[in-house]
Amino acid sequence: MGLDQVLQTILFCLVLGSYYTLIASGFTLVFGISRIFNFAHGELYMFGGFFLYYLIGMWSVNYFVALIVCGLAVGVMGVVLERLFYRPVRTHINATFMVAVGLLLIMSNLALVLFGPLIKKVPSPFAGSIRVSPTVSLSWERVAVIVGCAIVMSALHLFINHTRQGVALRAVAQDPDTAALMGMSVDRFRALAFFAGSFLAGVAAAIVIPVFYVDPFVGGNVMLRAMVVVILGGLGSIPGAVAGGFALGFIDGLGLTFFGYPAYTLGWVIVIVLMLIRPMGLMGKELG
Amino acid sequence: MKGKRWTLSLVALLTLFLVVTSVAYAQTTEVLKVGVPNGYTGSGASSGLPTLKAYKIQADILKQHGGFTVGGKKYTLDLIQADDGYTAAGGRAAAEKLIFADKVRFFLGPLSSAAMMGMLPLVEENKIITMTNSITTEKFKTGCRYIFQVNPQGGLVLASQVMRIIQTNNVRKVAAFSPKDETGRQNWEQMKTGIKQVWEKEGADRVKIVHEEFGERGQSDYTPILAKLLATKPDFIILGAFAGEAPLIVKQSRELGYKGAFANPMSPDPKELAQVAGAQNVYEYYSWGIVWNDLPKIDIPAKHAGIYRKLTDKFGKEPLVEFYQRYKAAYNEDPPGAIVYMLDNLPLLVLALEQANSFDADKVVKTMESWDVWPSYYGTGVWSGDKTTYGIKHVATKSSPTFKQQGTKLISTGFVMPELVP
Repeated sequence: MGLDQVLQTILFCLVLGSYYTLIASGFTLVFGISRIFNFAHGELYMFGGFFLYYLIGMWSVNYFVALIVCGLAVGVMGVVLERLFYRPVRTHINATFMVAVGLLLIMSNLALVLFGPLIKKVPSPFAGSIRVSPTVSLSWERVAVIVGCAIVMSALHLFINHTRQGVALRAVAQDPDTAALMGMSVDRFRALAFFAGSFLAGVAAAIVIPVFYVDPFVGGNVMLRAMVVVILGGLGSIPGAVAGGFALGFIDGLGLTFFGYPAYTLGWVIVIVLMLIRPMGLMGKELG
Repeated sequence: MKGKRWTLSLVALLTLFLVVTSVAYAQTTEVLKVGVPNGYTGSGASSGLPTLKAYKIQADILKQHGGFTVGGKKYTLDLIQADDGYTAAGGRAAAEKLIFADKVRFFLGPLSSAAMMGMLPLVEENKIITMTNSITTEKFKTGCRYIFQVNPQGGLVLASQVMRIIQTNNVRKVAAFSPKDETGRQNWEQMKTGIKQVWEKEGADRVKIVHEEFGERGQSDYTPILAKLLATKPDFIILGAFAGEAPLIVKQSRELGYKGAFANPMSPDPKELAQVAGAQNVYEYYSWGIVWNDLPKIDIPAKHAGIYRKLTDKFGKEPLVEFYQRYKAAYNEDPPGAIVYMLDNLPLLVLALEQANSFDADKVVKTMESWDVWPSYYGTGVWSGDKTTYGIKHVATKSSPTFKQQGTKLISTGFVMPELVP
């Protein structure tokens, strides 16, 4: 394997890692605060993709405006899901699980009815490629995924650690009973967590979907990868989502390069082995 | 006064006649339910949905030409769709729904080989006449007599395209990227025969197969695999039947600097290919199907005129033209060119039922097997295969149209008669 091919592979691994981190960060944020596995997270991402398609592809809205609008729209969807479906069953684990799975099925079929089964291509605002060497290149839309991931994760870090709402979210995540006793509205902050997590899904869609396409079935694949990332990195841990995302990005990228299609299952094999050795994931905390 | 009475009597008689004949017609025109299992969601939707639309147009044309007759009764068709999701489990579920819930005895489809294998036991057990376009030859290995593959093996159709591309484009290195399923592997093996023909004519050094790769359907990022493939610097990439994934593969290959040709026996809709891959990336892309703005003139030898008339009596004097015009008028879009290899499914079923004068599956099979030649939308076809090849003589061989896509434009590259067997 030549040096050029090694460099090209590393660039792809960085793109994949950024992609996985973006889609997993919202999912793990929601779990970290509310202890709910929102399996519909992939479908929220998918809806974000369709919103982007209509905003840019049909109504010619500026890309960066569309990105924010997608995030806000999907964020609102997340709040609606929390308020109407998750909050009433929050104390019952089995019911929460069933609601999450049900929402996944309902939303993908709703998208099928609303948007049709055919794929939709979102025009990318980033044309062309950057040439790293005579034989190594990366398209600007993939560069945007890496840069977008860096910006989003930095903004998320600042929000969680350096804003009042972020500190409050961490308090609710750490000990909701004490937070309630201190006068905090736990329900309101859980809804905020859903808004933030879903906003991240919408923004992730706006960054990633132009590289590929959107159809009513992309959510399923996205959710599978997000789960591997979150379990690898540690449930509820944002730094874990970054570590897990890039770990999986390199596993998939290198695996596909050297082993071909069997590498798609490699991530799950590693997750199972990791669960046996370190159940809390790379950066998660011990449970119980 | 007398004249007035006569006129009134005549009007009354005419009215009575009209009422009686319309009631009689309504009573003798029955409806036959036919199942259409196909991919209507997921990666199969881009071919499944237009196929269903095409069958609806054909059913309407048939109705306008008076339907077909079995046992003295006239019939029209009621098409019942069932989504197989392009998977084996989906094929099984679709067949169960059609057979047990909808009480259907005849299938048009599926296209997916995985779905075909999934529903095979039910088809065999329940004697369902299945006019399929799936190409896996595994489906015949159980000896099931009720399946007819109404299109040639796509890989064999493109094999001669492959040979032509190698010679005209001065290709020296060929790489293959196919789905890892039965369809992908078989298509690649069949298209390889085009390369072998070049070896026979010009020697083994003329062109080399530098890489063979298999991948999962339904993925969105193939760049790691493509980077490995393109490191071998091929001039020509053969895609062994990726459909919905092909636009991304083309796009990602071009982004990695690949400038050579593609050949794909199972192409997505040309508009979708150009939209997703980017029109500037679609060039030297070869597949098979009809170019609608360049419809061929169908020449039928005199000895087959009678056979061809059976098709034109029910589906229009120029069936291909009539189909295209009706499809365009109904849906305001061109049918995907690849639809042509499904167009013979419905007519052949109808002709077999009428000739057998029965809905009994064994009689219908015997009738179809008795045909030396049968009429096709672009000429005539024959059944091919025997115990040493497909296992049974139920695979169509017929002249098939091919094309090259440049941007959104399709350019006809002529008709090809595929080899009877690989």
